Amino acid sequence: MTAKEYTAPEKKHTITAKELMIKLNGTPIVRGEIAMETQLGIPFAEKKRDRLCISFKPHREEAKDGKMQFYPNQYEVEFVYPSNHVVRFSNLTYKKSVDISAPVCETDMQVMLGAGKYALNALYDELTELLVFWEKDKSVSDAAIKKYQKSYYNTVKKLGLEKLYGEE
Amino acid sequence: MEFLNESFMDAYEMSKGINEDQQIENIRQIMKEHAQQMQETIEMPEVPETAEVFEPTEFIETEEGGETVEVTEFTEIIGNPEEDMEAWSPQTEDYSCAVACQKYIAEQLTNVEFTEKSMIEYAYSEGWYDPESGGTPFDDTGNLLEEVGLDVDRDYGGTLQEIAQSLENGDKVICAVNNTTLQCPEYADIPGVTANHAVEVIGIGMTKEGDLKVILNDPGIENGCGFTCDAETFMKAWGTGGNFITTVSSGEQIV
Repeated sequence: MTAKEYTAPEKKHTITAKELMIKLNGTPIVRGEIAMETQLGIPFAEKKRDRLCISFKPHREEAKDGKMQFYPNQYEVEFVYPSNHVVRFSNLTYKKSVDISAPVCETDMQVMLGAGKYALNALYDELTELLVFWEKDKSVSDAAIKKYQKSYYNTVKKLGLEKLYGEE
Repeated sequence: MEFLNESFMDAYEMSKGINEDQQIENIRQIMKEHAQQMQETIEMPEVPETAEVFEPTEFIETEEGGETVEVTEFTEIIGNPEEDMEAWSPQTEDYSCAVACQKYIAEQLTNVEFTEKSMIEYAYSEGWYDPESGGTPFDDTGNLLEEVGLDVDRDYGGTLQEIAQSLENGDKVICAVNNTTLQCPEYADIPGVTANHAVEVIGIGMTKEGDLKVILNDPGIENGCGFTCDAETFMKAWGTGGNFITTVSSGEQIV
């Protein structure tokens, strides 16, 4: 009997970045290891071992006096797409002295709701593009990753969150 | 311990399948039918136009800096918010909202008074709460209640109907919400915003104008005792966490 070539059925729908975030928020590591009072934050994309990896700096956010305050990240977590397996996880409060009692940066609430939301939506659209590239070719080009990372840091800068997310 | 759906995405999709507007409308319908049944089955003496006033719900600062209480009148209420409000106290630490909610429910269902401090200490010793890491993971919400012999179910994809049913059964409910969204519903439209706070849902009420309100014990705000918000706002805030719900029962049958 001749062995049959395995081919998976064609996917009707490529996951969007927003849908991916919902999935990642439901993974065992987020549910079981990361305190609910934190937000995953803005997704960062990298290529490692030719795989698409998405990482986060989970941290606390608090609205106060018309500002959105951002606290230091307490964790680092990285997933590999599309399996969403964990590549890396660290609770930084055990690793080094992290004072999570005071915010490190803040953004005006109106900016978050206006320009911030617009910038983040645009960034998420770019992340969706990376996911589409992956689904189509099972790879993502270095150029596409670089483009996304540039947009990531531009968004961070627009929101004044360099102290949390770093600079390019 | 009783646990989550295997597939988080499936559960989330399930809740989204019964979309938020439909969930709110379903509850409105149930309350209308309930009110009708009450009128049909019980021979009522002359009744006032509105049901007993439920207060307080919101505090509004006057121009002089004082406080006034705005009272919301409900014609129908699911749950027992007045009684449940007695257990409220503000959370004692920045990240202890889930512990505070468990304290409320432990007192409501066991009739034993607990201090949040003692519950924090126990949760910390078990690794369920870590103020230095930012609080309580989703999966550990309810662990303290299991320790005192209560039945706890955790799930994603919860619906407003499930909350209503639980409250009708005498069960208690903790929901994971985004606290900024409760105050500013548009905040939920920002990509990446997720649940970051635990609240106890103690009632669902319908005003005489037909508005559906969700009544909370919110440990994180000064006026959190019986805090009331529009059902639509609550659904947005709850949706940021995939409608994560922790349902607690004493295991006793309500007769």
